[in-house]
Amino acid sequence: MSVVKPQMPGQRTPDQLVRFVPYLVGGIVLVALPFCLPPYYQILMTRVLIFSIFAISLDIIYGYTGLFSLGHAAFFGVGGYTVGILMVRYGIESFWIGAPLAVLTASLVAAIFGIIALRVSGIYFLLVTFALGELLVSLATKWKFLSTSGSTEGVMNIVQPTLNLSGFEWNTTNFYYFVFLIFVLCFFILHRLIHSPFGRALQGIRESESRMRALGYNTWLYKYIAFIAAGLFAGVSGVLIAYHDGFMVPASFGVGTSTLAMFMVILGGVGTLYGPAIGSCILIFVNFLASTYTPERWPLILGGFFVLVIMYAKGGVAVYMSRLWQKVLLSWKL
Amino acid sequence: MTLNVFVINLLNGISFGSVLFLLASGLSIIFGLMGILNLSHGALYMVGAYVGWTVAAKYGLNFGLAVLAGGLTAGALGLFIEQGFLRRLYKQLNEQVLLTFGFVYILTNLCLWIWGPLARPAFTADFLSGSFPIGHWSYPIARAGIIITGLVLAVGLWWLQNRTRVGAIVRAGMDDKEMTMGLGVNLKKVSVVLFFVGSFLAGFAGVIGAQFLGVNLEFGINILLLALVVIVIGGMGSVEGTLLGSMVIGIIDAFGKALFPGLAMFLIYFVMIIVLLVRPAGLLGRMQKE
Amino acid sequence: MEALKVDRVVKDFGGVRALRNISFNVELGERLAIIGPNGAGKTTLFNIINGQILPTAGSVHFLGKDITRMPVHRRADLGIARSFQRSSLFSNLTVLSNILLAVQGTRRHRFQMFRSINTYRETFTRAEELLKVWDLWEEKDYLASNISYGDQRKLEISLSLASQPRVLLMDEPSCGLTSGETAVVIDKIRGLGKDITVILVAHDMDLVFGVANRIMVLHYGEIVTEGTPEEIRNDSRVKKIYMGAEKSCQNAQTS
Repeated sequence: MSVVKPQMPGQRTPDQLVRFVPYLVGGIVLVALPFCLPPYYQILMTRVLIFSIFAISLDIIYGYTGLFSLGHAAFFGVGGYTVGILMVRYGIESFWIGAPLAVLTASLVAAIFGIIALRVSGIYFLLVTFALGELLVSLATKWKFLSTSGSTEGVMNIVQPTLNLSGFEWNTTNFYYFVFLIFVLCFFILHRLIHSPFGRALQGIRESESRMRALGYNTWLYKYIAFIAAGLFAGVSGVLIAYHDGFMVPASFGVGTSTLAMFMVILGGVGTLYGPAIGSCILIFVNFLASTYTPERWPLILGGFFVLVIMYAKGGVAVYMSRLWQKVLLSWKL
Repeated sequence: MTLNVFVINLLNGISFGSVLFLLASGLSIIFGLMGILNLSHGALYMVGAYVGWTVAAKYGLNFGLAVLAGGLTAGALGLFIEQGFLRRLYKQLNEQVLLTFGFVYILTNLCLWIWGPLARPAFTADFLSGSFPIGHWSYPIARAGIIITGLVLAVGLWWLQNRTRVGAIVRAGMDDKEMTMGLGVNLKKVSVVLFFVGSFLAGFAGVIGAQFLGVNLEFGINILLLALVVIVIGGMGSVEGTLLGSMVIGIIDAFGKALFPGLAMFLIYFVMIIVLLVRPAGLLGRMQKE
Repeated sequence: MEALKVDRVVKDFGGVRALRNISFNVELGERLAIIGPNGAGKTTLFNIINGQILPTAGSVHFLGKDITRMPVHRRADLGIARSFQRSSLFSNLTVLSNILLAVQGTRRHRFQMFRSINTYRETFTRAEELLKVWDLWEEKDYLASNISYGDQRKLEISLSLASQPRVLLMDEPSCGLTSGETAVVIDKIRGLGKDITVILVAHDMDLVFGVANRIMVLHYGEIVTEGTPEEIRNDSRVKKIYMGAEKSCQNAQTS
C-alpha cells in the first residue's frame, strides 16, 4: 500500500521534482505510442486507458478509503448506458451534452446507492454493493426501454460523439488522444484529491474509522463523498467505453465487470494511483493473448492468475515498480 | 387468486426457500465462525448440482447417492480452497473474499469445460417424481420432499446451535474468538470441520435444488446473489435469521413470478433495500463485533 | 460550571447491567482518576462520555450542554478528546501523517479537496510542536506500526491532544510501558495546563497518585467511593477490592 508522505512545507527540494519523472516518462510513452504501434494495438491501449480510469476510481474507495465494493460497475454501466440511450433513442450525439449528462446520472445513482450501502460496513457493505449492481443488471435486462435493438439486450449502434469542431472526423488515433486527454485530466484531479486534506482523511478512515471519529471527523460524510466521487469517475469511463465499443450490455453493470476492476486494482497495486492503470494494462493484454489462443479458457486463466496474485503478490506490480524506482534514485545520487 | 393457486405458490415459495436455506446456512456458518465470506459458495452449489446430475441423470444411479456425491465433491473442493489457500491468508479478510471470487471463475470455467455450455434439465429420483394429492389438487412429491429436507435441517441446525456443546462453541467463537480459544477450545479444528460442512451443504443444496431448478452455469453468481440477499434480510449468525430470510425470499419469488412475471427479482431487491434502510443488521441479525 | 456532569447513567448489555446509577461531576482543570478492578465498568463509562455507546438511561453534560445522544465526532468538535487503551493509531501511515490527521480534525480545511496538504503550514507547525513535545520528531517519517510500543503509546496520547481539547479522557495511557516510560508520561500529563481537564482510567498506581487530585473507585458498575489520593490510599474498602483482583491493564478486555 502506498504511504502518502507529507513533505514539510518549504522543502521544494530536487527530491520533490524528481517524483514527477516517472509520470513524465509514462506520459511521453503514452503520447508517442500511436507512432510506434499499429492501429489494432492503439485500440487496445485506448481500452487500457479507459479501464484505467475505471480501476483508479475503484482504488479511491477501496485502496484509499477502505471500502470494499463489488458493485462499482453499476456506475460504469450507468455512464455508458445513459450516453448510449441519449444517442440512440434521442439522437443526442453531441459529446458536450451527452457526456456531462451521463456523468451526472452516474453520480446521482452513486448518491442513491451510497445512502443504502453505507448503512452497513465490512462484509455487509460488500453484499449490498454486489446486490445493487446486480439489480441494475436485472433492470437492464428486463426493462425494454434499455434495450434498443429489439431482441438483443443492451444498447447498440452507439457512434462516436460529435465534438462540434468543424471538419473533424474520428479515427483510431485521434480517438486514442481524446481518451488520453481525459485520462490525464482524471488522473490529475484524483491525484490532487488524494493529496488533499480530504484525501488524507480518507486514508485515516481506512486505517481506523473509530479513531477518526474521536478526532472530530464525520466519517460517514467522507465515505459518502468519496463514494460519489468514485462513482462519477466510473461513469466517465463508462461513457468512454460506450463510445469505444459501440454498444453496452446488461453485464456492464454486473459483478463480473466490478471484479475485473478489482483485479486490476489488486494486480497493479492497491492504494497507489498508478497501480490500477498498470493492472489495467496487464489484464487487457493478457485477455487479448488469451482470446487469441484459448478464448474458452480465459475465465479459468483469469481466475488462476488472480488467485496467484492474491497469494503471492498482494502489493501488486506497484510494489516492484516503486522498489525499482528507489533503486534508480539511489544509483543517481551516487 | 384462488385458494388453490395461493397454496401452490406458497408451497413453491417454501420449497425454494428451503433450498436457499440449505445454501445460505453453509455460507452463514462459515462466515459466522471464520469471518470469511466464501463467494465461491454459489459455485460449489453449481458443482454439486453438476456432479449430482452426472450420477443420477447420466448414469441413472440412486438419487441419494447423487445427493451425497454432490455434497462430498463440494465439501472436498471447499476444503481444498480453505486448506490450500485461505489458511495462508490468515486474517486478511478482503484478500480471502477476493480469492474465493477468483475460484468462482475457475470453477465455472471448469464446469463449462467438463459439462459443456448447455443447461441440464431438472432431475429427481424415481420415487420422488410425480405428484401427490392435497385435497382437490396435486403437488409434486419432489418439492414436498425438499420442504421436508429443509425442515429437518433447520431443526437439526437449531438443535446443534442451541443445545449442543459444538453449537455453544460456535456461538462463543462468533462473539469472541480470543476468549474462546483462551478457554482451550481448538477453534481451528472446529473451523475446518465447519468449513467442510458448510461447503457440503452447498453441494447438497445444489442437487436438491436441481429437482426443480435444473443445472446451469449461471448458478455460480445467481444463486450466490440470492444467498447473499437472504443473509442481508435475515441477518447473519443464527439459524432463525437464515430461515426467515430464506422463506421471505422464496415466497416473494414464488408470488412475484405468479403475480408480476419478470419482476420477482426486483421485489426481492426492493425488500432488501427496505430492510437495509430500516434494520441494517437484518431482521434477526446479530452483527459481528467489528 | 463543571467541565463534565454525569447524571444517573445506567448501561445494560443484554441482561448484564454494566453501569448502575453513576453520577459524578468533574470540575474544570481537575485531574480525576477512575480506578477499579477489571470489569468494573471503567471503559464502558468512557465509551459513554466519548459517545461510542449510548447509555440505557441517564445523561451526560459537557460545559452545561447535553451531549448524551450526540455522535462521537460532534463531541470531539466540542472539545472532548480520548486516548485509547489499545493503541488506535493509523498503522500504515507515518508518525507525521498520524499527527497531521489529528491536528486537521478540528481545522476547517479538513474537507478541502484540491489544495495539497503541504500548503497548510499552520497545521504542520502545530504537528511539529506536538511531535517535539512528545519526543517523536526524530521518527516522524517512520510508519506508526514500526515504532516502539512505548513510542506508540506516546503517539496515541499526542493524537488526542492535537485538538487542544477541553476534556481529555485517557484510557490506560501507560498500559504496557516500563516504569521509566511511565515516568515520562506522568511528567507530560502534569505539564498539561489548567485549561484542560483530565479524566484518567488506570491500573498503574504510580500514574494515578502521580497525576490525580481526586480519585473515584468503581466496582461492579457502581461508584464505591471517591476522595483525595490520601483518603483513597487509606480506605480499607478500596484495599479489600483490590486484594486478589486483576491488577493489570494487559488483561483488561473490558474494564
